[in-house]
Amino acid sequence: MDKAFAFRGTVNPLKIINHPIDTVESLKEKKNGSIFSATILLALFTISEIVLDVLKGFIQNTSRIQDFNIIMVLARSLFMVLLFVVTNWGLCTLLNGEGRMIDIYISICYCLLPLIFARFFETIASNVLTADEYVFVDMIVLCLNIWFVCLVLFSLKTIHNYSLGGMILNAIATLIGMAIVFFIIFLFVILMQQLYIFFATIITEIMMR
Amino acid sequence: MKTIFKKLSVLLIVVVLAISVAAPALAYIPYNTYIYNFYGETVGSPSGYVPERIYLAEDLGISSIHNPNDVFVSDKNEIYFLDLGGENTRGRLCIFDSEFNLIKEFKSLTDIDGSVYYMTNPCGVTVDKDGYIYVCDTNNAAVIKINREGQIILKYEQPGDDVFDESYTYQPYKIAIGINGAAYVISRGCLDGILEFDVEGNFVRFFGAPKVQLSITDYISIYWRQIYRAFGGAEVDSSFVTFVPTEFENLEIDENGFIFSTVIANESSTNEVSKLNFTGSNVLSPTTKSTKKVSDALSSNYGDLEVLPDNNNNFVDIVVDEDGFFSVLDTKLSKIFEYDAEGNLIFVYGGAGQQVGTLVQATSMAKLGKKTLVADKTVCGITVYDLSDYGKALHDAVVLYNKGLYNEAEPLWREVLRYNSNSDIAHVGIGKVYYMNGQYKEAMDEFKLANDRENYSRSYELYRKEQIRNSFGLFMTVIVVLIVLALLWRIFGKKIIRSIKERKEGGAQING
Repeated sequence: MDKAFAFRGTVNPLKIINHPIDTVESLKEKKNGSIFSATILLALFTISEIVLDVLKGFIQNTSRIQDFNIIMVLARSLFMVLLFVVTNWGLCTLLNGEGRMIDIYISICYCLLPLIFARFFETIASNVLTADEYVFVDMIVLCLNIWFVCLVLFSLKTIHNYSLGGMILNAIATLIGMAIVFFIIFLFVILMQQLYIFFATIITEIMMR
Repeated sequence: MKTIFKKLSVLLIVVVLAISVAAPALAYIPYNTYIYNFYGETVGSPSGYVPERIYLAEDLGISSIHNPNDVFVSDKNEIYFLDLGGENTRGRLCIFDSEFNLIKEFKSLTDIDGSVYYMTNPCGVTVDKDGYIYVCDTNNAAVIKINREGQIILKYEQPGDDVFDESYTYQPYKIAIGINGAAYVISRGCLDGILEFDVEGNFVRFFGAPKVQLSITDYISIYWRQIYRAFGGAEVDSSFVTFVPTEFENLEIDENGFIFSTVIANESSTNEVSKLNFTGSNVLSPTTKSTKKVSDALSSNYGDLEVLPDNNNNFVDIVVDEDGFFSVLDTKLSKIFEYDAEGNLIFVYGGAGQQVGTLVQATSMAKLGKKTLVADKTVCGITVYDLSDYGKALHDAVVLYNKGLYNEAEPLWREVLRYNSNSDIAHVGIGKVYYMNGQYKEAMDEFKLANDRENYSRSYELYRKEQIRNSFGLFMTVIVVLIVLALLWRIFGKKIIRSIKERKEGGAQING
């Protein structure tokens, strides 16, 4: 991969909002997406999640600031996106997908835009609106979430050159794959913990003798 | 130097004197009082009830007490005490006045036909407003209505044949009398609900059977059992649980005719504490104060929120006092949970132990005015708890607050907060006062402290309106000024830019 590619973005990420298929096609065919802007969007998404957790208005926010756990927030935003990208790439390589990992990463990150809007919008609205007025916010956020899902599905379809049914099957398989990867990571962590305890015990025993 | 020393020594003496004078006033309380906060965590609070004393058999002037089954206080503040202290452990009914002086002791009664009648393991006693006494004579399978001379007037026999299964033995256990004179009886092991009898002693209907709530795992278990049977598994595995409605444990009727009841809790029980109206539906809202998962798992949030899954709350008694505060007695934890009329937890008191104020095997509870009487099987006596100053302030404040006298309740709420700044209901009370007086910002602060989002939202709405109204002039001024500036820029902007450019070019030429 030439170095220039990383910063060569010629496509405006905002264009994905009204022309998702065109944008993703141009990402794929002309390779004019940029890792740099994709990473900025991913960072923005992570920040928007943190901001929502910390600055959500009192009326809507039932969790306390001392219960805030940044690892959990990172796990459900940054980690989930990366896990999705890796799992999807792994599966699609096996199932005749045409996309490369770079393509998947860039397009998924571009698709995060509605979610970023949703999070910041929720943060502001929860501080300004009363409980009764908040119903509309919930509705708008729901719409943005649905939009995000549609964007992801369409961009996956374009990248891998799948049919409609294949795309949906692929998405479901990716979710299952994510669960499996998550389970393996969990097992690994527990194993490492056991290993650590084992060696720690041996060292203590040697030191005590 | 000398004067400082003198002053210090005087101070020391004063302090020592103050401590030594104050010390006897602080009675030792052998338990911690606490409440639950919004997040379902325990928060310490000053003691709402302090143990006063224990009345044992010799203090009460009766022979030794066995199995005190029930204690009841009538409208005239007479204490009715039911135990197995008679000969051959037959039932005995004692009546005391409010100072615990013995008025009457019945070891035997006179039957309707004039013969001697002995109660066998009677478990429940109550008194109606005319002074007639009703006793659940459990092992004799009857409820008896007696007058103050011990003469049986009426027997509420077992309802007719079609009401119960043949295998079922009728065991009336607890009783309460409704405002219209109907008797509400709980029978041991009866899963259909409370039995209602009319004034003549005829069975009317079953009442308010608790619903069974099944979880997903229960449904899976049921379907699994059906599959098991379908494939020839004739005998049912003992690991299969049967799903039956829960059984009522105790009941009490308040002056408005609402029936407060507790059930024997199990994994599938709901409404462990309920306030039933005359149609038998629960009007007491489950406390929605806590958002924590542990309490969501429990079907109702009354009692101890942190009981282990296999160790359910065991509410053996429930009482309502004259101001609508109701308390439940948990015999497993030996604790008493007191709630206000809306179901907010205000005190948890008592605890396991063998000191004055702690309980071992509590069986029954009653309210003598504001005092709590608890009968204990192991202690064989009645423990009396009295309201503390903090408890009095809180009770008075809640009573005024529930009458809608928010302003009158405010000094009392401040008094409560002086004792306990963690009291959520006190913050809500003060917040309501601010809200009524139009001090929305202060109201918001108080509601925030109490974690009351509903009221916070309400006062925030008005606060926001007020703020917008106040700053409307400034806002419009800024907009008008901006519009004027924009128009000016549109007319003169190009000229100004041009003149600046010309001046720069002129300067450059000079420099050049």
